[in-house]
Amino acid sequence: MSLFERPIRRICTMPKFEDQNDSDLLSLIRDESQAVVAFSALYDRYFERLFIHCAKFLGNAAEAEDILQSLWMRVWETRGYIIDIDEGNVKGFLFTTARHKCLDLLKSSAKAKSGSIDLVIDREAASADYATKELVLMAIDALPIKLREVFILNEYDGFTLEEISNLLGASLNAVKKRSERAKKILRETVSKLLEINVHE
Amino acid sequence: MNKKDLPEIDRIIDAAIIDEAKRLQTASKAAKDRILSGVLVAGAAKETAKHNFPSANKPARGTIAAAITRERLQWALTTLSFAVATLALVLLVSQLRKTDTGSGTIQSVKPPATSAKAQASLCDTAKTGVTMKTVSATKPPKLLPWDITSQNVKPMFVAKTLALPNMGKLSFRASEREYPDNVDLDSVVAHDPALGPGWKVADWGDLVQYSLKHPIKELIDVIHWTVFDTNAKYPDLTTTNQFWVRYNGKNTLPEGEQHFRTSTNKEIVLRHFFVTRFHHHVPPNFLPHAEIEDNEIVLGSWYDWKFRVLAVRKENFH
Repeated sequence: MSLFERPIRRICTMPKFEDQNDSDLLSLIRDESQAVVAFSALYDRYFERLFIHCAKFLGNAAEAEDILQSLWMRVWETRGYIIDIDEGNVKGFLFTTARHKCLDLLKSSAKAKSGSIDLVIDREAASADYATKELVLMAIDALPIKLREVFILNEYDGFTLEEISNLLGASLNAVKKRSERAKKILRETVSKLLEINVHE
Repeated sequence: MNKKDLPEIDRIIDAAIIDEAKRLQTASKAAKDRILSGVLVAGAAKETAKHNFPSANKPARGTIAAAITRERLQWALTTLSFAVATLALVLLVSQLRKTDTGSGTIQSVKPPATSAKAQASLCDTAKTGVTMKTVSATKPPKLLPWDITSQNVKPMFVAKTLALPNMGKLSFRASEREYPDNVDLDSVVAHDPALGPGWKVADWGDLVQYSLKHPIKELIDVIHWTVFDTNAKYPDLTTTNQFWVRYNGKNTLPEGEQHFRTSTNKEIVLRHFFVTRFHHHVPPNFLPHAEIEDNEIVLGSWYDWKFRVLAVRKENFH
């Protein structure tokens, strides 16, 4: 019996994960001995952005938490089966999964409909109960869902229009039109708001 | 909407977005740790459940609930029988001990005879020129990594290490460059700018020999050996605290002890020996193969990494 006949479990030497690219991190997640730390590193890298995306998309932080919990749980549980994903696509993979989960939730709770309803500005609300910023945010939430998701991905998550087109599987032209339309609607809404304030 | 108002409108929209992004950022911080621990704990629980009830997902006869109940019952019966067997064994042993005490022939568990005699003979000053500092017959020196009383590891291998002829003062030096694990270490030592023909790859046994004669702190100072920061979130593996070495003349773990890269991909990777400095704090997931001075420095093994090579003066071994 030698020293080595003891069962060797995990060994330890943990690489510096901050320097690893996304694709390497995914590979490390498949390695049982480094899975937890590599997973935590990937989680740290994307949690905040995904949270902001989902919370804004759903308009509800608690629901965003649920979505993210199930998303990361899925990544963790299927870590042994994740195929190689090229660098750059890991972000897309995470955001696409999050988007599908958000859409499912919106469909199931019929929230999708509310997104298409035009915002009606209540004079009393505008003057008394709501600050300007909050009304702008309401206006964003009231955008039709297709416009809203492009707007959120562009303005909140920092994706370029080209990246958004890849992510949504839509043409770049369509994404550009959606983005412009979203901005136009928002400007009109805020303009109405300003007029109300001026009149008052 | 007037065109002249556009910049003002955009400013209001941007300000609102920035404001909300900050608010969501704060909310995300609160949720972040909670969700991570939730995912890992739930993941671990699911894996344990899978392990304990492998067929829980296959309803055979009756309902799923009944199947799970059967599994649980089987598990409970196994546990119970194991507990009964353990209890019986404990009772038997205590009975035997009582009997021995009565007849005055109690057998106390002694450290194997190797400790005092073998070490004394191997480290005899007359034979090897080594004067040991803390060897005593009753208490083995703390700095020996093969203190077998607690780990139940036979010292066969260690005896070989101790039997190395040890002449003069050992000098250690680290290579200037770092090298991957699969290089020819002898060639590295021969060609590295900091080393050369006078040096050979250090063996763990050399470090042990050195520690018998000198405080390991001297070696640490000589090669500027920094501590592996185990408190860091992602412990930093740098070239200043890890060195490739050999163990009993071998670069890698013996056959059968190698590491599988993943559970699905059965590719075998060779784990190469290295030494690192933990300064007494070994991370829980690190299994040291051996240690010196209460885990001041530790022998580990890993793969796919680049470290410097620790070398020792060759002429000291003649």
